[in-house]
Amino acid sequence: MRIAAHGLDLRFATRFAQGPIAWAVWIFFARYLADAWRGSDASLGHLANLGIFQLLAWMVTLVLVARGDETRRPSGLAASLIGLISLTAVLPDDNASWVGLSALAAYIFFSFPRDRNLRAAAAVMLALATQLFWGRILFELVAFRIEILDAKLAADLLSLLHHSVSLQDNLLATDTHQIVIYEACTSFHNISIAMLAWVAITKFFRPVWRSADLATAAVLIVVTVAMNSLRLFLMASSAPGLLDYWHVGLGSQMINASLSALITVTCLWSVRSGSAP
Amino acid sequence: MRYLAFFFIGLAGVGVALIQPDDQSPQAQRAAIRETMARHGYAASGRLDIGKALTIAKFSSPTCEDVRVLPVSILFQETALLRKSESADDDRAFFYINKAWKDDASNNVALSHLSQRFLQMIRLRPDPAIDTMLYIVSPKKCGVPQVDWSKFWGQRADI
Repeated sequence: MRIAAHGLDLRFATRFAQGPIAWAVWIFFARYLADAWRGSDASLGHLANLGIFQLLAWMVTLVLVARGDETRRPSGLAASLIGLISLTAVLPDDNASWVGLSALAAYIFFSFPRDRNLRAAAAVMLALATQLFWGRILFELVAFRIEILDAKLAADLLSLLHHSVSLQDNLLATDTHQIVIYEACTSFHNISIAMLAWVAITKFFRPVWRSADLATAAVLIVVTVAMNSLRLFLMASSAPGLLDYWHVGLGSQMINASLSALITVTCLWSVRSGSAP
Repeated sequence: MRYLAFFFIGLAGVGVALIQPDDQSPQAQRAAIRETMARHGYAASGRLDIGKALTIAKFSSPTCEDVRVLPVSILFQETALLRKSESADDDRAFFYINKAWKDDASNNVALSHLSQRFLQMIRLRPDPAIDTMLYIVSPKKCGVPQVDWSKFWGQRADI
C-alpha cells in the first residue's frame, strides 16, 4: 500500500516537476482566483476585471520559482513547513492567504540566500501581499488624510486654470457640482498598483535590484499622482452630465489604460536601459 | 505522498473560497437596519438625500423622532458630506461592532478593524471583518438610541 502511494506520488511529482515552494505558490494562486471568482458574480466575463498587474505578478512569481534552484528532493522538515504555510489558504478568511504568502516569502529569503531567482520570486510575493493586504492596513490609518491631499491637488489645478473652487476636507465644490474623493479614487490606490507592476516587471527581467530602480519608483509615483489629479480635475471641471464619463465611463477607462501603459513602458524602459529614466 | 498532500490542500483552499458567503450588499444592509430599528420600536419615516452620493434612512418612534442611520465606510470618507445634514441640536455616534465613538476617531476605528481582521483569520467562521460602521444621528433631547445591532453585524455580536 505504501509502495503504491509512493509510486503515485512520484508519478505526480514527475508529471508536474514541481518542488514544494512551487506547489505552495500554485495553492495561493488558486485561492486568489477562487476568491475573485466568488466575488465577481461567478462569471468569466467578470473575472476579466481582475487586476492585470496582479495577474502579471502571479505569472512572474511562478516563472521565477520555476527558474530557481529549488531542490527537487527537499527535506521532510522543509516540505512540512511549507505545507503548514500552505494550510493558511484553507482558512475561511481570504486575508489569511496573504499572511501565508508573506510567510512563504520570508522562508525563501532565509532558506535560499544565494538563489537570485527564488529571492526575486519572494520579492514579488511580498509585493502582491502588500498591495492586497498589508498596504490596505496601512492605508486605513492614513486614508482620510490622503483623500484630503488628493482633493487639494485637484483644487490647486482648478484654481491654477481659473476655475472657481472650494474645498472642505475631501469634498470639492465647483460652481455647478460637488465631488467627494473616496478611497478608490485616491492616488494611493493607483500607486500601490504601480509599485506592484514595478516589482514584477523589474524582477522578471533582472532578479537583482539596482539603486537606479528607486528612481524608477519615484518616477512612477509622480506619474501616478499626476494622472490621478488630472482625472479628478476633469471630473470637477466638466459639466455635471459628463461626471460619469470621467468617473466610470469611457473617459475613466481611457485614463486607466493610459496609466497602465505609462507604468508598463516606464518599467520596461528602466529595465532595458539598465538605469532609471 | 507529500505532493499529493499539496494537491489536496489546494483543492480544499479553492473549495473553502467558493463556499464563503458574499459580502453584505447595500440593500441587505439597509434591510438589516430597518429590521433592527423596527424591533426596537422605530418605524421608517422617510429618507434624506445628500446629493447623489448618500441616502440616509430616517426613523421615528413615539418617544423620539428623526433618528437617522447610515452604514458608512470605516475610513470616515463621508464625514464632510454628513456634516451638511447635522445640526447643533443633534447627537451623533459611530458604531463599529462592539464599540462606539462620538467623534471622527479614525485611528481607533482602523485599529479596531485591524484587530477584527486578524481575529477573524484564526476563527474558523465564514464572516469577513466588515469594513462598514454605522453612523447614527438623533436629536439631543432623546440621545442616541440604545439598539442591539447584532443582526447588522451578523454573527459578530459576541466578539
